[in-house]
Parts: sequence; C-alpha cells; structure tokens
Amino acid sequence: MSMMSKVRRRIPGRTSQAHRKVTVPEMLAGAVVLFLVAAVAFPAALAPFDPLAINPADGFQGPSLEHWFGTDESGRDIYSRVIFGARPSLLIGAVATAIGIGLALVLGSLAGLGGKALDFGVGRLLEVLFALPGLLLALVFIAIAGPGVVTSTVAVGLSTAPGYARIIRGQIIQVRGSGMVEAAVVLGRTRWQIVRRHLLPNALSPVFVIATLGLGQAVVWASSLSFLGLGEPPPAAEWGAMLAAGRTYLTTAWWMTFFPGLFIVFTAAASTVLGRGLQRRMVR
Amino acid sequence: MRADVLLQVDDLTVGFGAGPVVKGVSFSVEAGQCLALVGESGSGKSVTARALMGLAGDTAEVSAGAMNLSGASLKDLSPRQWRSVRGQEIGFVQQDALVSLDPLRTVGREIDDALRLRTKLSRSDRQARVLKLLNDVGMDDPALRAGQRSGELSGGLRQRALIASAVALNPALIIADEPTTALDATVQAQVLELLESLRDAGTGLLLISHDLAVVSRIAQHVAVMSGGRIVEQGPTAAVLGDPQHEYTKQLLKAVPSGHPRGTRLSAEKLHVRDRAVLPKPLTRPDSGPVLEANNLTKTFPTSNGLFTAVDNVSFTLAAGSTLGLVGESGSGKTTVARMALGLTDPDDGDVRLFGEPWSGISEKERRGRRPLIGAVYQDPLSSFDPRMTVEQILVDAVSGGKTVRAGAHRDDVRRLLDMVGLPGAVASRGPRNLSGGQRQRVAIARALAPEPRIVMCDEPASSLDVSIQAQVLDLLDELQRELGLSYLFISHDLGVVRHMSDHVAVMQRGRIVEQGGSEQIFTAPEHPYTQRLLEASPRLVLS
Repeated sequence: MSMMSKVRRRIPGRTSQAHRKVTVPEMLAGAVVLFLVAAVAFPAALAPFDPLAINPADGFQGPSLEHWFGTDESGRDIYSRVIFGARPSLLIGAVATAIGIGLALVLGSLAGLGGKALDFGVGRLLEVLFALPGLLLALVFIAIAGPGVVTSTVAVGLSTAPGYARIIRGQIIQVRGSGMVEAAVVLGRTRWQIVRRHLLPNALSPVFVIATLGLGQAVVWASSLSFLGLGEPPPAAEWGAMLAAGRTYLTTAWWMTFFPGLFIVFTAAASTVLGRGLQRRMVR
Repeated sequence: MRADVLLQVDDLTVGFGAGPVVKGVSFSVEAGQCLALVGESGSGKSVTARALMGLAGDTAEVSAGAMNLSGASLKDLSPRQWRSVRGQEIGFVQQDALVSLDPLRTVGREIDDALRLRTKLSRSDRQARVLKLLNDVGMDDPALRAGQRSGELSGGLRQRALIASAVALNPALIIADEPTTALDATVQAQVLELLESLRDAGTGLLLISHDLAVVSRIAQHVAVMSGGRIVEQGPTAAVLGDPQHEYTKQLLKAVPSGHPRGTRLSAEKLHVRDRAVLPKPLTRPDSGPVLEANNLTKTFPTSNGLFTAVDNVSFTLAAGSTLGLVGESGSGKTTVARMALGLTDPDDGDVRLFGEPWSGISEKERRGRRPLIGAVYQDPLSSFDPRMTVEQILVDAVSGGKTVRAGAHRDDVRRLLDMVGLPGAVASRGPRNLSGGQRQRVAIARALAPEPRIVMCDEPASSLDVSIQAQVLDLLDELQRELGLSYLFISHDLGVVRHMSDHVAVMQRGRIVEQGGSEQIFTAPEHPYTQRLLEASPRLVLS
C-alpha cells in the first residue's frame, strides 16, 4: 500500500490533477446552482408572470410556449411560481442546515471537549434523537410548537443536528489526540488557544463539506413538511406547498406536481454532486 | 546467457505518461544469489520491482529489451498469465506486513489461499504444509500462529508470516521490497537470517533497500540506482568497498555508524549565514544539569492488570550535551520523552528542569517555562496544523500563540528558515508540499523559535532517506554547537545514536539497563542486552 501510494504520487495527472478536474456532472450541477441562485436573487427577471396573479379562464393549461410548465387551477403560471418558489424553499433549507450545524457545534464541542461525563450525557441524548427518524422528529417538534414557516425550519434544523453533532464530536476527538495539539502544548499554548486555533477549524472544515450534502436533504424535508401543510400556507409559491396543491389534480394536470417536484430533485441532486466533489478534493 | 541465470533484465524502461521513471535498467539475478537494488526514494527501485511482477499499474508503459525468468519471457503477459507467475514463480515480500496481510483472516488461511488456488493438495496436506512453512520461517508455535490474525502478531512475526506466504509455492525468485525497514534491530537480524537461509537453499533474491548495512550483509551483488538509472553495479564488496560513482560515495558517507561524533555526514555544507542574526545563547547555569529525571515510574492500566511502561528510570542531561536514549519499540523511550516534555506526569519519581520541579506541577505553572524545552518528532507532518503555511506555523511559534497581524514577524521567519538552511520561498507553502527533509527542517525551526535550551528529538531522522537523514543530523549537530543546545535524543538506530550522543542510556522493557559515555557503551558494552543489540544492529561489513 505504502509503496503504491508512493508510486502514484509520481504519476502526473493521476491523483493530484485528475482529482481536481471538474467532471461533467459537476459542471451540470454548477449550472443548476447558478440558475437557482439567480432565481433566488432576481426572480422577477426570470419569471414572465406574476406568481400570484389569478386568471381562472386560463386554468389547467398544459405546458405550452406561453406557459412553459402549464398553469394551475386558478390559471397561475407554474414556471413563474417555481422560480419565485426558489427563495422560500432554499431559504428554509439553508436556514435549517445552519440551525442544525449551530446546534451540533454546541453539542459536539460539549461532548468532545467537556470531559467524560458530558461526553456520556450528550452521547446518550444523541442516541435517543437518532432512534427517531429525522422527519418524525421534525413532526414531533411541530406537534408541540404548532405549524408555520419558522417552526418547520427549526424542526428540520433540529432533526439534522444529531448527525452533524456526531461528526463534529468525532473530528474534535481525532484532532485532540493528534501530533499538532501535542506540539502546541509543548510550545506552551493554553487550552483555549489550542481549541480556537487548531481544534475547531480542523474539526469544522469537513463538516461544511458534509453540510453541502445535507442542504439538499434539508430542502427535501422542508418541502415534505410544506406538502403536509405544516409549512408555508397557500397560496405561497413554495415547492412543497405547490406539490400539495397539485396532488388533487395529479391524474388530470400532472404538470402541477411534476415541475415543482423536478426542481426539488434538481436542487438535491446538484448539492449532492457538488458536496461529493468537494469531499473528494478535501480528502486529497 | 549462463545456465544459472534466473532473472535476466535488459534495458527495462517504465514510464507513466510524463517521461520514464525507470530508464534502461539491466541486471540479472542468479539462483542462490542475492542482488540488491539500492537507492533513495524516487530512484525507481520499487517501480522496477513492480514492473517485474506485472504490478506497475494500468497507466505504466513498460518496455524492455529482454525480461526473462528461468528462460521464459515476462514481456507482454496477459493479466491471467501474470497471476500464475506471481506466487508460483516470483514470491513478493512487502515492507509493511500489517497492510499486506488481510486483517480479518488468520495467517493460516492467508497462506493456505495460495496452496488452494495453485496446487492440488488435499485439505489436510495443505494444513500440514502451512504448519511446516510457519515452522520453516521460525515461528515458535506454528499451530497457534496459524490461527491468529495479523493484528495479533508482533512486527517480526508478521513479516515472517508474509515471507511464509511468499514462499508457499516454492518460487524460484523472491522479490523483497524493504523487508526489514520497519523492524527493530534484533527482529531485523532474525528476518535477514531467514532470507539468507532461503537464498542459501537456492532461491534467487532481489532485495530492494535503502539500507546499505542490510545490503552489505546479505547481497552478493549490488546495483545502485539514482534517477531511474543504475549508476553502478557489481559485487557488493567492490561497489561498497571501492565505490567509483560519486552518488555511491555520497550514500556511503551518509551512513552514520562508523563516523565519530562531530564528523559531517552530508556532502552539502550547511551554512549558518550570519552569526549576528542568530539568537544569542542564554547564559548557562553553572555546569548544573539542565534536565534531571529521578526514579521515574509510569504504569498504564491494561485488560490484564497494570503495565509498567517505565520502571525506575533516572538520568541527567548536562548543559550543551546530548543524551541518547536507545531501545527497541515498546521499551518505554517515548513515555520517558513525554514525561521529560511535561506531557505526562510520572506515577513515581520526579523530573527537574534547571533544578526546579517540572513534574507534579500544574500546566499553568509549567506554561511559563515551556519555551525552555522544544520538541522535534519523527513525523513532522502530523505535528503541523494542515491548514497553516510554513510562515503561519513559524509566526505562531515566535509570537507565543497570540494573534498577530499578517506579515508580522517576517524577519523572524526569515531568520529561522535561514538557520535551518531553507530558502525563504518555502514560507508560503504548506507542509504537505514539502519534501520529508524540508518538513523536518521546518519542525526544527519551529522548535527553536521560542529559543529553547533543550530540544527533545524523538526519532528525528528515522523516516528519512539516508542522505537526507545525514543532512538533518548534521544540521542538529551544527545548531547544537552554534546555540549551545542540550539534546535528549531518542532513536532505535544505534548508528545514529552513536553519532549524535555524548552519553547513552539503553532501555529495555521500561528500565535503563546500562548508561554511560557513548564510546564506552558502544565499544565495551557491559549489559548482555546492550551486547545483543549491538550485535544485531546491521553494520557495513565488507568481506
């Protein structure tokens, strides 16, 4: 093994460059993300219609040159609604992921740095949270706190936190026992200096990569909650809520559910592909 | 071609897209003889060996005028044909037996695999053969060992198991790639004996090694490789005794054993450019010891009771001198080092730094005096924060961990790099993008940044090529003279310890069995363990 890697290191274009080369799926994913970012930033520039303007005479139209993704029961343009829906859908996903990581950072640091008793306590708490499926955990939280955009965001964040917390704890423990920390102690660094300078930065960098993967998942979960009517109330253009609204007409107007669903899939897939790419490059 | 030539290689070239790595190499191995390919990492010796087994990889372009094993050509074999050559015709022994053996399978099964696939022996015959093989390679209890997994065996036993699986099918040729590099001296001697006996039984041996002492002991012929070419080859005594090529001469000069303390090992003159910019030596306390260890004892709890890692160890380190601590792995050297660094407190006994207590005090009390003692480790890379550049590492060391503005301490960084003979351009690079020798120099620069009086060196050159090792040892020596440093120098390599130390303490199973002046220990050892260690340590012997 050691020899293989030695041999490999000398082969140009095999690991170093080949690993950094952007693949075709990564380029496509990048294009999707660019489009989504544009939709979040300037929805009006991309969407031809008002997402909320009702025109019952144009209801249930299939995809056409005028209405690319068709119209819904009230004659609203699905394409425009999908574009305008990017902002709330992605915002919920991003904020939820941020909440999840923030919470995980506290839990993981407590477990990794707080000594045996805290590690044990946090460990058992995480196990209890792990025992419940993520979405169920979110539902329990909503059952207690009541439905709404804010609660569903917090709920998704809460349900992703245990996974991140475990990773952060593991990273901290790994870095804690590394030669670099010992070298810092020998140089006379205080505990706090070591935590701030070496432990947290090194423990967190892989977490951000994994968060890219988690972002797609969070968007899916947020949409699921909206689909169940626990997130954005109608007639807001949120992807999950659009799915929920379209499901009644699934047999007659497939485009009402298909296109919002497609964008959820695109988002999740793009963030997964980019996350994996980042991960691959981080591990040399 | 003579009849007894087993392996004939003519004009072998191996490339990986961008230019050849092995450039027109020719050599031959005879039955019952050993040819050693000697060279440093990157010289192409391992690639050569792998090409001979069809393992150079998919991207490799292998071409040769001739590549014959027992008269049959090895050129342009199909993967299937290669598989029958490997194991049956050529046995392969790798450096690291821990990763070469499947950790989930018993040693017996590992060896049995080859027999099951390639012979028609019955199950019970194979069983008997496995036990015989394990017995032949010198395993004490073959039946027990056959049932163990590689993780349960010591390094020496693992290497034997690997050799047993390599010779299971009686291959005519064995290729051994650094077979003893990771092993302790006494274990290394046993493994070499085993390879020697296989060679004497008529097996051809192609030994890949960077260790000239090992080579001089077992090889009849030597081929010295550098930059993908064989620069010199011939009978071992001739090549090593009267080297013609400049590179061979350099390699030989770099071997520390046999050169008294104070002689330079590397050809390159390290420059300490300007004395004025060196940190001024602090005033030494009058001849008092800088570091004292009194009756140190340290135990660790294990599943079967307490394990005494360090047992009643005492030593003193005099100002401006080097105390060498030798011993094999598991002898407690590193635990002693950790206690000397104030990273672990002894269970019993105490450490004193400049006469003041250094053990049994709180980290807060220790912190103020930590700049007095620095450390250089065997693996510098793991001791660096991978997120930092060399400049950041050194600035951090100079500034005492305080956050400073970018560009601060630039002069200090330059001075430190200069002191360890590195160009200023290295500062902006990450430690990952440096060579092994450069990394160790950065580690030394970092250790020196707080202007310590003592440096603890734990195997500082053990993972380096011999010529790089020579440079690092020379650098440490030079810095000691310039700055009046005291070294606690830990190594398993007796040659290195002898070269570096004024005093030597020999450790075995947690105890210091013998200590005294370096020359006295190495020329007139009194303790039987020291004698055994010295005997086992490979020396350059030219018959």
